[in-house]
Amino acid sequence: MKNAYIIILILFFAACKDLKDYPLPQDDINGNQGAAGVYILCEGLFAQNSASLAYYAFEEKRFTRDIFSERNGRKLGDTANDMQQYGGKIYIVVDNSGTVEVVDVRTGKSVKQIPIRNAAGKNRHPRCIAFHEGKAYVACFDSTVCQIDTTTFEIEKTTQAGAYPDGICIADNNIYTSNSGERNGTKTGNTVSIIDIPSFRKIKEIAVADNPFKMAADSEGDVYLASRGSYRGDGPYMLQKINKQMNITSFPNIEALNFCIVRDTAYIYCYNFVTQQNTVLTFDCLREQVIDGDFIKGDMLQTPYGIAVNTQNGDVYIADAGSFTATGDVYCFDKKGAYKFKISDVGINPNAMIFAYAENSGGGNNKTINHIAEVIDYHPAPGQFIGEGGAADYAAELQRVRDILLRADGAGGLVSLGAWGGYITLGFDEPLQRFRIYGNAYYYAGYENIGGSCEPGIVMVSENGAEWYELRGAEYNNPQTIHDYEITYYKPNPIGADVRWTDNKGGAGYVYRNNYHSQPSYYPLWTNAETLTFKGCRLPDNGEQLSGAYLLHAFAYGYADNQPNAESVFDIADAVDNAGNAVALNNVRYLRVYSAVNLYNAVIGEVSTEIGGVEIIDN
Amino acid sequence: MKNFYLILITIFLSFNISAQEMLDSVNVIAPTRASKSPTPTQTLTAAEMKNAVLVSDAVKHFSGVTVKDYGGIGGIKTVSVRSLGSTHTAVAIDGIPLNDCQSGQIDLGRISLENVSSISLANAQSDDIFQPAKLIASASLLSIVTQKPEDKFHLKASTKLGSFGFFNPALFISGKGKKSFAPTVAFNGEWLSAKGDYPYTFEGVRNRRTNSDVQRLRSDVSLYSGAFRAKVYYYQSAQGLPGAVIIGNSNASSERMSDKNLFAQASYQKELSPKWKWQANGKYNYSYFHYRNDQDSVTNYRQDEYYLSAAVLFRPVSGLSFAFANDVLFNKLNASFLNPQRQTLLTALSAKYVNEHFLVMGNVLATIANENVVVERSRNTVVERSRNTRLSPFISISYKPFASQDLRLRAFYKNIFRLPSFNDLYYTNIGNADLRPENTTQYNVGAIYSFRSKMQIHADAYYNTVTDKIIATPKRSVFIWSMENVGKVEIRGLDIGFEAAQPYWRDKNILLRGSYTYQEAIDVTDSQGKTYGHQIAYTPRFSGAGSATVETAWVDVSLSVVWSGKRYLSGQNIAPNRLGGYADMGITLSRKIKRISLTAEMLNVFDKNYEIVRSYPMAGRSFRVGVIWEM
Repeated sequence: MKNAYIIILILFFAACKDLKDYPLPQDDINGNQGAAGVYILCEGLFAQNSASLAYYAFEEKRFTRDIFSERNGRKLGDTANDMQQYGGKIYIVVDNSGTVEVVDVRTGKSVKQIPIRNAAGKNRHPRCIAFHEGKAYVACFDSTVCQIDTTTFEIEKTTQAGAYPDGICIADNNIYTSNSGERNGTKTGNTVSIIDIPSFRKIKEIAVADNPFKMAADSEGDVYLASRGSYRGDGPYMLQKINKQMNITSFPNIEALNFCIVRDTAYIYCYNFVTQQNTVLTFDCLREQVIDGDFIKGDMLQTPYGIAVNTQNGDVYIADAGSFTATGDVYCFDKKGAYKFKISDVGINPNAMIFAYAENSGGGNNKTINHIAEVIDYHPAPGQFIGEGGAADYAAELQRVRDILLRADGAGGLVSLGAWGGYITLGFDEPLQRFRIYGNAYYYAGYENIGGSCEPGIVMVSENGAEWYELRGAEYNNPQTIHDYEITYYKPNPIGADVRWTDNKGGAGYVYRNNYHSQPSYYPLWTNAETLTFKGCRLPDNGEQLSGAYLLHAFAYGYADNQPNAESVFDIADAVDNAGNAVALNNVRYLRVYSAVNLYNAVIGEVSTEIGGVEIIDN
Repeated sequence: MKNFYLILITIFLSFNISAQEMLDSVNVIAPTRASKSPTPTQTLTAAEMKNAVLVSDAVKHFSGVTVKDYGGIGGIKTVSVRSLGSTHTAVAIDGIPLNDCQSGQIDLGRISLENVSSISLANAQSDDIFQPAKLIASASLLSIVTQKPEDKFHLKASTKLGSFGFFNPALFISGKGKKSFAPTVAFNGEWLSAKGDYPYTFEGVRNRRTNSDVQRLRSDVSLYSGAFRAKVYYYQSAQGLPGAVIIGNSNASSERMSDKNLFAQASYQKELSPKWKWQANGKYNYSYFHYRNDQDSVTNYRQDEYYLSAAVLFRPVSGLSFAFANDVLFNKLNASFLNPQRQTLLTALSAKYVNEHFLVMGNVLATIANENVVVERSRNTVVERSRNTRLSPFISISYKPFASQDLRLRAFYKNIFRLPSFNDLYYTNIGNADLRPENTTQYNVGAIYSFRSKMQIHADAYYNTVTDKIIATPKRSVFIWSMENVGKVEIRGLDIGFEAAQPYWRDKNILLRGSYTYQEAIDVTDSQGKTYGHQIAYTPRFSGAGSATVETAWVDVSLSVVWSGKRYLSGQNIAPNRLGGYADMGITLSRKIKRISLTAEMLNVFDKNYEIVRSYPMAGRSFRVGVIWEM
């Protein structure tokens, strides 16, 4: 009997090697990736509570697989479907948990968990989120859209949309939701609902392709839509466009499952579940044509599940869900589609990425490097900062400007271009490709992404200093943009009076003096001219009177001193000729910036672009 | 001391043993002689299952078994034997298989232990060759044997009360008419209801399960007359489906399910001569399933099964026997998605040779399964037909090397498959009509040793493979996962079990029982995949169970524990997927005073919070008391 017990013990310990966790890799990625880090949302698997938020800190080369639980001491929840940034906050939509988590982009801490419930307390199943003028709009599978205030985080109102909305975007004061159809695989939807924001009511439902999904708008207000087709997985995976008149254009040659639009370029991928093939392409939303139909070569990607672009350097990040049951990876490609690196095993079903930029906190106008080699000319329009240097002649004024703008550390300060039309021309020793223009734009807290102090200037580039090309910004096709604008400022008499102007559209006004700036004149006295005339493009007015503050909206992209330095990035690929046609340039050595909004207000005076330096990102 | 295995077989096949003898047998809890069976077979008798209400509670005590339990009385409980998967275990009640063509598996949480005299689990199959072919047509067999009716009037009334609204009264009556030809008849009825609203802590949040109520009615009538026996069984249930606990939105489910199951089965067996014996079995099964979800969307299924089996046993010389069995099954599903039908013909030819030292047994099973389903193809109604035919071999041996020692060495090989279920094949969008059967191959070597019938130990090492494993994969869209024959699993394992009985005071015993399981169940599907070489989901490397009973003059105290090492909720063995190990201990006190038996139980004594299935927390500490009155 004793022997028998010994046998039992031997057998028991014979195979004592318990299961061990397989280690997950820490990828070693070059620290200079144009962002402090990237947040990666992982959807997880249904009913497994396995949604997670990962964060790769590039400079520290540190990957945290679930920064949400690490920072908050609790899990994100079940089926995290969407993640978007608004100001300094990340909004994570957690479908099956019925919550929207508001997370501080700097810390990863949840500021607020917003339950998305109906009157009976049942989960509405929030799916996706978009923002407009301080409000978040969350589309839910119970056919509703909830409006959430982004300062109080309260749900203010709810309205009916269509069935099973699975995409949302906002264009032209309207909310668009894509009605995907039932999830049990019996019925696909084929409509898009349009909700008027002021009345917060559905005003229209339009027919689109089957099983509509992701939506995003370009700067012209065109809404792009990717539809997944049948539940059999054989498509068609359609890309369609809805213009402001609610007309639909299909792009039958493009297979689209999901996409994002950055600076009017759509980065589109498709994964065909039947053929198991994937494609990634880039598409120009303004010219409405494919830029590169085979953007990412090779068969590195298996099942792309999310796409995002780092606006700082144009890197394209694609989340790959792999088998959908094991951890997925994130691949990074440069702006030309060449593979850069991979972040492995980020979590289950990674579907969205957000970049944390170093200066994302506060105003974000740090500058550390300046590549301007020469200030070729400086012709500001009248303004409250003009003449403050007290220069007696143009040479002295130019020297003053050079002292500011030619410091390699970029610490010289700012140069104002005055009211509409005032400009500066800069020279460079190396060709420009992608670059950042320093200014002093910042967003007001609480209204962060809408704007704050944003004074947009148009950027022009030239290879020889004679033929100039405008960089097409977000407002280029806005009907309120006046491309043939001309203004004349009149030397005041006495010189200390307000400066009168007239324009070629029958308008007239003054650059008014104020109590803060008491130099002898706001008119550039170093010129002897009695009038100053400027020609160019006038952007739409971007000001708005708020109670107690005057707010200058930021345009989406493409203008100097329009966004905080972190976002103030330009690419010569946006260069256009006078007719608006793209121009391929490869040796840009000259840059010109002019104030491009003609707007005056009593609180902060005329809108005038400021320049503090230029940093070459790529050449 | 009686031989349990022999008794088991006897219950199946022979009606010569008197009822009185039967009763005595099942009340004994003690090891027996080492079984001759070449396939490992573990058995629990009613007396050993006093602390169990459902079959799933009991099977946790077998080695080689992984129970997947969604928690609570109403939660689905399936059993995977030796990591082959829950669809590879056949379940039989009184020798006739239970079948569910729709899901391909049986929920063991729905079979009550009330009126069950024993359950046994045989790897591969039992060592009896004279039985329906269906019972050898799977990778393992779980046999449930109900209490045999007695000629003498016997009445047993019992009730159990427990935490979370548990209430389980039952009645058993049996007897025989006065006329000599009158059959012995037994009636068994049972009602089970529970609120099931147990508290739990999940991801740091304390809460209570809701919508977890269960109501079940079961009644059956058995009839025995000589070599003929029959059973009519009716089951009806209504329950809530509490669903997964979701962070931030727990207990939101209002899904309901109800079902009905009616079957009638009969068997007849006759010895024609000392050399020839035959038997016939038949069954009709009706089941109806009703589901209503949160949006009041309703789903109904109806399944019908007709089953006929005939077998012949031929014993040309002493020790050598041959059997030929032929089964015909007709299955029909009526569902909103499709109405498939399946006809299965199973033919088994078996041989067995026994002498003092050796037992050699083998068979070849031929399966022909025809299927047809009516589908709409571009507005035309087409009948799609498909056929699966296979030959499946099984061979086994047991050997007693020493005359003086009760030691048996044993080995078997079995290759068998399971047909894709109707859900696998046809369920809306998920189904894939091109599926092939899922194959298993098992190799087993082991030994069983009995020491003076006071202690018994058995140990078996095995190597299994599963190929063409049917796995849901998102091949169509992220929302709709369809079934594919994509998996391949390699399993190496060790099962150990022991039982011991030691008298310590007059007729009072200390009884010990333990089982231990070691399983390496490795995914070898895709060498480039992220789960290659990892242990498959929900399969611990180590698990086990143990129980100790001390009989005293006052009360019998029984302690039982079920434990499991860590597991992973998916096939990727990484930290975020890890589910911790657990040990669930129960204490049962029982006492018999004349006609009355009393039991009191404390379950999950240490109030451990654990999950067997991710997001389905198990109940904490709970209590149950029971009383049985017999005459």
